[in-house]
Amino acid sequence: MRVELESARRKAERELMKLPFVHGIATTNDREAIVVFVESEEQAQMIPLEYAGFPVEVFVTGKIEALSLVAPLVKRTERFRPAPGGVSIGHYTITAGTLGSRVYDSRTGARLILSNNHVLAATNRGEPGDPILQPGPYDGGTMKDMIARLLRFVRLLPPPTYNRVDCAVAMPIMNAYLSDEILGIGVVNEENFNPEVGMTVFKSGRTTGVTSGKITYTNATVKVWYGGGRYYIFGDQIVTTFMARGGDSGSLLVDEDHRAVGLLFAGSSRVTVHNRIEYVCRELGVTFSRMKVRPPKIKKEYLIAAGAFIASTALTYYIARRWLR
Amino acid sequence: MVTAHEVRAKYERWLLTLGGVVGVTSTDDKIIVLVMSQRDAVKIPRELDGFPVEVRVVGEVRFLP
Repeated sequence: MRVELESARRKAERELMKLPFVHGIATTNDREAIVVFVESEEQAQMIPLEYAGFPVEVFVTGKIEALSLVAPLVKRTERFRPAPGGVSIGHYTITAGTLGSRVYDSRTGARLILSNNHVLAATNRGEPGDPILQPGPYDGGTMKDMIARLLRFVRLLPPPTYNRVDCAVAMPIMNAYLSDEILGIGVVNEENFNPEVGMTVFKSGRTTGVTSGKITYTNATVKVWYGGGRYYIFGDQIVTTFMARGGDSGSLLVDEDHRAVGLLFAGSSRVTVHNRIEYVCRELGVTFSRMKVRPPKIKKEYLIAAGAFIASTALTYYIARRWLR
Repeated sequence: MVTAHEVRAKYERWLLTLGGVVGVTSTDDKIIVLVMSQRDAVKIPRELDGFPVEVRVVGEVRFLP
């Protein structure tokens, strides 16, 4: 009997699910009936009372929508494939930071992972080709969780030099491992190079998820400590109200129109500090919009030189042939 | 006419050598010094070359790995 009910349910799934107002099919354990989920009472009356020899019960559920990824049910410290922005990531020797966003290589158009130098390149200690794990080692990531290899980073320089960025990019080992989305924010395809004081901004990070804040300064010089009383100086930084904790480093800072504004990398118990995205894009050679990616230009001088070479060769050949005749 | 940004640039290196100073920034009309704690605020001058100096306690800034 049970087998028959199962096959009736599968038949119902094939046929009844075609109706736009049917949202789901189930069976009951005790009453040997097929259950059909619909959105409203009116639609309930359009469902047959019996189907394939079994009674049909109608259940009005309202519209069922996919649970948003913002829901706290999502653990950002788990393994994601494809991995979106806002989840745990890290160089194999560090603890864990945040996968900022998918960006494009300005030269080749390749899709890359953007985060901080201190997340993807272990604060200058990393070398191109090093394994990048998702989740990061602190969250249980092992070599089996390698998602990418370090591609390039901007070196952090000790005082008195001012740094502008703490950033790095990694190349996914498989293109399909990287999502275009940022968890709870969506796809970012544009930059906003003009952060302004008072602007509302958002980020999606490993530890504190999606949080919002306000820009308080756009041109701050900040000392950032990293243990043992040592610090780096960062110039021309964006400072916001408190919006991140340890593990959120590498998060992308976006404005209300989902445009990239900054790259979160440091903070205290009262403020959070971000690199300007303009410097990040320029110094790493990356972009958020695919349209801007162009193949490398051939310099005009090279074209002229090549043309002159071909012309002179042809001329020499022509003259030689006439003289040697 | 000297702006607050120019005055800030002039004194920034010196301000950063003071213990407890975390950062320096400026707006069109004032210089802002970020410090670790209220204790550090007393070392900061109230005014530099005629521009007011505002002190903000932000705590120690660290990387957030």
